[in-house]
Amino acid sequence: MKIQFKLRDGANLDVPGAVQLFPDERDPELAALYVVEVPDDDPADTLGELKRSSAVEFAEPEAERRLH
Amino acid sequence: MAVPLQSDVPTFLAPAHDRLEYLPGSIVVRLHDDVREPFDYLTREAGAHTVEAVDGELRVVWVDDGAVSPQLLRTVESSPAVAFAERMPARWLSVAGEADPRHNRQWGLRAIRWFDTDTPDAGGVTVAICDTGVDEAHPDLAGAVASYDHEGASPADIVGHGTHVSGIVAARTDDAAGVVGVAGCRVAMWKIFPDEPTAGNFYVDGSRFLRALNAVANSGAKVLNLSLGGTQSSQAEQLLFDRLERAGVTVVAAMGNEHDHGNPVEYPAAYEHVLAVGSVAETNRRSPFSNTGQHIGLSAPGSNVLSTLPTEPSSFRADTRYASWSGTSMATPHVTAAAALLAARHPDWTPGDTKEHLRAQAAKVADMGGKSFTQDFGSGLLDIAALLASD
Repeated sequence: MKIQFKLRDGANLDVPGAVQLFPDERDPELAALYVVEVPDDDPADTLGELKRSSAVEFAEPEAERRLH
Repeated sequence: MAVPLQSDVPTFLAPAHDRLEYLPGSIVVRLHDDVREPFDYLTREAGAHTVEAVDGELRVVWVDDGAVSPQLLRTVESSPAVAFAERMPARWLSVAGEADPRHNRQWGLRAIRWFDTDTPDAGGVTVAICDTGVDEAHPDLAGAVASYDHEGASPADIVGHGTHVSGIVAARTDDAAGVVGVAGCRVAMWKIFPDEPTAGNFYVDGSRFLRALNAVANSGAKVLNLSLGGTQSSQAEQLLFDRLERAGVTVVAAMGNEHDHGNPVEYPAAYEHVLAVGSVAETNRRSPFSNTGQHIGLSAPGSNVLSTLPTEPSSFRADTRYASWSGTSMATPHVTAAAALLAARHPDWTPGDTKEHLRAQAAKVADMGGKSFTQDFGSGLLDIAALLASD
């Protein structure tokens, strides 16, 4: 499972394995977006941890998108 | 290896400028008297090797290619035994080489009154499409693909979905090949689907999708086609759709095909800045699969839509070149192309202006019962003739 999350303005958070989605982006909102891949049965409950963190504006599972 | 067909003109019909006036090496002679003199002369001077009797007076004489000249014919006609001698005229089948020979199977173009306008053209506009890729070598898409980003995946359109969508938008007109695209514009393709399915279905690579949306916002494209969706909304996606709106990109997305499976609200169709498209069938009634809802913008043909497919088959698709497919995926690019036509005429319009005009000019179909909006059809059926007549 992939989790997308956005850090609050000026916040820092060390999430192992997390990758910045737009590392070269000057738009601060997009530059604050990250993705991290975790096991489907994630024992660390990364999504819950991120949602509870005051450094995180939002965290969500990557939405499934398929052809219509 | 399959050979891509370059043209849909019948192969037994040479182009008009290449057709023969006369059959080479063939003379028709009508005789007054059954004498051999003319044929002896033709044998001697023109290498005549065969004489076929058509009836008692007419003969067809086969001579050496290139031996037939006006002087030769005059000499033969000077014989008192000969009524006339002439070259054998060429005759060909009266099959017209149509501009786009399959366009009469594109019922959707009639439904949106595309044929009621002079061939609409958005040649200066680039439409962005995020999909399964595109076959740039398809003869009906020659020169139509402005750019193709398939980061991290093969360039092949394995599924064929993106090539089908591209053809609806931008298949070349009057090119003696296949079908007609709605807008005559160019396509910038971002391949956001992987080459292999997951659990039997193809799902978007989410990170790749977000990066593609950002690239579209920076690309100069005026319209974005999204023939895809899912039931979960995403705050990350919404950031990108807000950015697309600010960049002046009109985003058009499919309502979804799960009407008989819970009729869920799907995204990105249901995001605030996105124009959501439902599907109608040949009867101008809602396609049975087409999702409904308060967020629907308008409708377009989505059942049995003929369009382009890659010229080579894949392990997931046996059909090649052309096929009729159904889905709100097929309805959406009709509206995308219409938005491109408006962008060509009104480069200063905002996405809001474009969406408002598309909805305002939509035709009210019978099943709307006289209402200006229904959750089945939105503001009605896309109407190209009304759209272009009113702007």
